[in-house]
Amino acid sequence: MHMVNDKLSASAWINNVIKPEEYEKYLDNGKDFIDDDKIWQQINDSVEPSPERVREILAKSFNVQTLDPTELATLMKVRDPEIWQEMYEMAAKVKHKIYDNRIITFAPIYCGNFCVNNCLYCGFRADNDKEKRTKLSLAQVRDEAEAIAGRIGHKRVIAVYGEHPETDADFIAESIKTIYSVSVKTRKGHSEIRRVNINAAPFSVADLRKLQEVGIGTYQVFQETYHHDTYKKLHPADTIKGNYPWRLYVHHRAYEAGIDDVAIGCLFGLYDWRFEVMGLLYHAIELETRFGVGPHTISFPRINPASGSPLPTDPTYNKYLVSDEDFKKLVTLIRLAVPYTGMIITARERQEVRDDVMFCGCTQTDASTNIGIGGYAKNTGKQDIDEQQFMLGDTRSLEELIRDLAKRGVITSFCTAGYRCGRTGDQIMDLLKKGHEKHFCKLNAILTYREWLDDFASEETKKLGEAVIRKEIEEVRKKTPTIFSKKLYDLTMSYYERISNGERDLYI
Amino acid sequence: MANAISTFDLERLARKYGVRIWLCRRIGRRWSFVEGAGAERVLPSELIYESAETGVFVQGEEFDAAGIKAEVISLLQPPTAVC
Repeated sequence: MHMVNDKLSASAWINNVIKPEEYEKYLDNGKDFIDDDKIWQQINDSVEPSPERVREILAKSFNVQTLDPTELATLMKVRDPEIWQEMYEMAAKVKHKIYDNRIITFAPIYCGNFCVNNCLYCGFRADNDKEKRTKLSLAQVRDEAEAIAGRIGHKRVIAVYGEHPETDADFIAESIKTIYSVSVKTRKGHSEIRRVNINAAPFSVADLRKLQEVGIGTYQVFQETYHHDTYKKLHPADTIKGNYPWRLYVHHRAYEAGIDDVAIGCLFGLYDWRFEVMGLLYHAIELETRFGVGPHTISFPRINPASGSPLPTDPTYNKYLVSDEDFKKLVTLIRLAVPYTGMIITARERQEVRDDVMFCGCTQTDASTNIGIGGYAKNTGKQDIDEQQFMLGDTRSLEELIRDLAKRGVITSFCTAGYRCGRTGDQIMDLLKKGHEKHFCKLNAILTYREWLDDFASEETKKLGEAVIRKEIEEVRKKTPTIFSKKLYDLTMSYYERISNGERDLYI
Repeated sequence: MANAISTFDLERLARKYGVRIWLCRRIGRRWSFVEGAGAERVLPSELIYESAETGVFVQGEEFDAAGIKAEVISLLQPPTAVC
């Protein structure tokens, strides 16, 4: 048998990855839950709604009810810019109702760019010989985590891996453990990564259990495109990724493996964005219906130039590139359609787009982002298209982002409290749908923002941040005891005091 | 693990002590929700019992933590044979 670094050769490994019995049981007469014809029919049959009808649907979103696909298709038919403006504003209100005035931040860690797949849009694809292939050793993973926790101050990361035996589930599990083990002394306390989310290949239940056992945060897998024919064209049939249902049902397997939180997404620009938004809604409904827990987050990256990739300049596909205007619409529609979900906008987007779209319902974003392998420890401040999956559009530092958000009155949160006291899975879904989670978000945002300001902020940022904290604390005080009990208020204030004195990782 | 405390017992404890109570599994430095009972409120979560693999959290305004803990410990003990 051919061996690669004591592992099965890539070709032998590929043949052992897919377990058809793990997704076939979910199929309905051999069909998955994405019915392309039905989706197009729903989109095509919808007509421009009256403002009253739009407001009825918006009221449903505000009531934290997942929209029906026909309702989403109806909203897509709105043409009046004033009604769209109402929809943007409602998306922001829905987000505020569920998650309050906070944005969570994180950093991606790219752990390896070996990949057995050949996705036409991706710089990591196996046939791209321009890509410089590498994988971090566990010591290098530690270096990355130390740089992120100790120099930048993030408390959560998403670790990213290509699909390859070099970065299999065992390696991922070890790297998660390594990241969690890091603790770095800071100006006033210490800093560590408290939540490790993963973006990786679709694994089997047995492999997913390995990730669950080491405390994976959210398991994120994007379908890329929900449209079957397009999926087939972009993902060659002789690759693992060529198997549409193996990928589509990976979140089902994750729940089977005991993972609490899963994340879905698709890469906009591969097919018609309206179809993809409908696909995301169908995916959320499927997870809610079958497991009682919808996606923890939804991501909506737009395709960016990648090393050695014919897309997005290929005329077959560039008709699907999403304009900034449509991007804002699709983000708004996702927020309205799946009101409880977290929504992630990343540094792929240009600063002006991110600053605008963030306020259409997004809950999380990244900053000080470096998507080169080992990029945080190297800290060159440069992007290299041959060393990364795509090019970033917004290279603001975390400090710059925090300052920009503070100027808009928004608090940056480093909260990971849910994972520290079992507010996960269906428990957190319930809290989100009832609108209770925002109260925990608010208090934990105050506590973790205080930590970051004391440990990492410049004097200028600290000044701006403290004004935000004062405003947030005043809001909490005004809502005590109607929303926040006296006991909770007092506990929060005592934690705040202790954090100001150098204690860390206190949460509500 | 999932049956460490039954849903019936969690509901009974939630009613008796007027709290929200939930059982979690320890995974590294985090807790994963398993089962819970009682109405969710905006109150601090207090870890009233923990072992190598299990944690029990309670949320309530004023409650008898010692009483709940004693009942939880008794429920988590393996049954003894009666001759």
